[in-house]
Amino acid sequence: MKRLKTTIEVIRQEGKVSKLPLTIYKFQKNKRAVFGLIIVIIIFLIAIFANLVAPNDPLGRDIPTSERLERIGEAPSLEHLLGLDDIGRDVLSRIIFGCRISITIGLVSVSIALTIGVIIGSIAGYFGKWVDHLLMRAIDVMMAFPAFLLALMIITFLGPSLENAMIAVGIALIPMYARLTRGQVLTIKENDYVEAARMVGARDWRIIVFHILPNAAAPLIIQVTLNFASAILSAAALGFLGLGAQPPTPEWGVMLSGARKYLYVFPHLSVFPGIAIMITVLAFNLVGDGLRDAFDPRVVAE
Amino acid sequence: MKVKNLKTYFPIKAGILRRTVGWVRAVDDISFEIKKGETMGLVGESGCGKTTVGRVILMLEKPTSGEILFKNKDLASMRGGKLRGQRQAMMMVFQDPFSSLNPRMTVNKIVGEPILINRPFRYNALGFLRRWGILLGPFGWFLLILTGILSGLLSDIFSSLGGSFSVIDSFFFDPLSKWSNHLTLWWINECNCWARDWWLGDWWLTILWLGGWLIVWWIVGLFIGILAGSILTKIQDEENSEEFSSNSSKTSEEPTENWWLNLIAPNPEITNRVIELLKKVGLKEEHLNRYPHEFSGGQRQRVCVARALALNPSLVILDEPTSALDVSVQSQVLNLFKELQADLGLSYLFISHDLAVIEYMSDRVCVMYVGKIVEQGRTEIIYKNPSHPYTKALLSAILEPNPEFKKDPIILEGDVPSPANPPSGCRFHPRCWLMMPKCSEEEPPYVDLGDGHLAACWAIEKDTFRQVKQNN
Repeated sequence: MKRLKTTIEVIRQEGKVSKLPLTIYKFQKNKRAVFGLIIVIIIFLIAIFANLVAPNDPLGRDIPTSERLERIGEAPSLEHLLGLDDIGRDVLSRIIFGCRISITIGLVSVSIALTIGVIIGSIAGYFGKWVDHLLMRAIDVMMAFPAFLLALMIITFLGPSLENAMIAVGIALIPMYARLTRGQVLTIKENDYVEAARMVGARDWRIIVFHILPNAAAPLIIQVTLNFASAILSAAALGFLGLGAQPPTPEWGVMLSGARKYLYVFPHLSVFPGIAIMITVLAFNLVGDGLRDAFDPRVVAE
Repeated sequence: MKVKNLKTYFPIKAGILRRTVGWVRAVDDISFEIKKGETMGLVGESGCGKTTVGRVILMLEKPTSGEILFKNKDLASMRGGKLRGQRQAMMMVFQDPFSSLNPRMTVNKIVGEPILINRPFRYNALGFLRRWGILLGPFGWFLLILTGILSGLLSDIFSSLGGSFSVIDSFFFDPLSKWSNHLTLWWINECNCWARDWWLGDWWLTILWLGGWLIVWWIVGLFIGILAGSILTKIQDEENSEEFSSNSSKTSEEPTENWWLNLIAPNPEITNRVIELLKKVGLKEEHLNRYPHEFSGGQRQRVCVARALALNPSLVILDEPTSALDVSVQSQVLNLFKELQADLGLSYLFISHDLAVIEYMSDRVCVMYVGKIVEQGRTEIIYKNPSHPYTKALLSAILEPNPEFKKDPIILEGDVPSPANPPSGCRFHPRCWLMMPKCSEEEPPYVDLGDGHLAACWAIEKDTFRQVKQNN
């Protein structure tokens, strides 16, 4: 069996010691991850500058209604790169604006999950005993339901809308972060430097924020990138079911569900939003996998 | 520093209900005393509770019973802030320099942390502002809202003049009229497209814009704060110049947590003190901003020592500080401890299993066996004339540098008994070659052999009686 090289050996083999921190070094050696990162950056740029990039208004307000109605479902052309949809709106512009919505969904729901999950997890892990039992049993109850089902249940409480979809997806992701953080905190709090901080007079929250959480960051970062994709996907699914964003919002899931009726007549209406979802999710997953490999001390850069 | 009848038991839990089925008697009824400027050595086999003693003295572990008297105050009965204040004068150097430094903090932060946590309030760069209620946060928000209103008005004026904006301009002056019309329009009460178009209408660019200005005002406020703070600190320093001297009793007043200061303004006073400490332990100024993984074991241990010295403690507990280091570095570190003791008049509690190191370092020695001190006294006396059979056995195991020298060490049979279930009577009796029937029945009392030399053994008890009788 081929013996895995240690990182030191690899660096020696390269003949120079990289100035970059080891994780970044390993990440930038991973071509797929870098590719994913570039796409993610492009997606972010498109989202931020959607109103500068998009050629048309996503709600079709810039084309006169009479003209729009004549050109319903027009196939992709040079004028409208991805064609026009069932009421004559530019699909490309809608996808570009949908990008903004998807990124927002990812950011909002993952940050909801991350904040609450990390707080619950670190309190449970750090204080232990009955606090731990109480919080973890609550989390167990949430974990008993599949995440998407949980999101559906929350939507039923809150009512279908884009904001509520974000909140629901965020809440559904909490247990994962709470568990992850708790596990990390449990191992890290046994370290001597935590003891040393306590000796020096640091309070509990200072120990958690400055000594434990920074050392627990790596798996959380990985989880964030991976969940970013899954949050976008679940929000699109909710939109498709009519429980997320409502038409005429240019959200990808909503676009897909609207295009379902025209699958045989205007296939480009369902293909392009689908491709957009696929590319986004794939890119985030590539970055997440790359980060996981980069943070893992056992995996060595090729 | 005095320890009286200290006991620490850890519960053994078992079963579904996690009931306590027994106790590990890690430290069982220990008393000793460390005088100022003295080094007390604590020796014993592994698992006999040496480290627990150190941790309990610092109250990192709660003692089950007993008193820890430090400067005539009982730490064992203290809690919370009071304990935190008292504990500053005692510090610990941990056994493993690889796990006792936070890998995500630079040396500056590691060594500066105790000072940062415990420094008095008035020395914060922004302490003055905070004390007088001018919080940076609300201040920043106020300026932010002001900017929002002003730039909204400005942009309206500009656009009425027919001017146009670039992207950058509109970010700083015009969050409102071109990209989104929320704030100004809402402000002027013409909220016509805000509700309809909020998802297209760049609400999150508005958030970005708000955030951008918040950061700008934050930094501006920061400079104002640092200026005000440093001027005030200077004035105060001139008024009472010796107050921020390294006297630990002074720094223990009014401890505050000001983590946000740590984030925004590295305090030059702390940095200077850290540099001073690094030089004291034999490191250089250039090590200041390095992370622990960039150091060797010996250097890391020096950083640990610097951290322990940061608050000018009077007692430092050294928990096997050299056992993770290789031999050449060990001697350097040991000499460092000696130098520091001579310089700063420190007292040490030196915990180790290395008898040679203990002999070199300590003035007095305690020998521990399964949670109990079996013998204590001055180092020369104990090393020359050990009374307790366990001490005799331990000392006979010291290696001699002379290969010609042949000696027959006392080889003890069996293992150290479990502290969860210690033998009855004298705990050493199952392995002792002097065992008498009495040993397994009753615990031996301490016999004073003169000059603070105490030993707990029935055999000595008998000997001394005999001696006393002979003398009579």
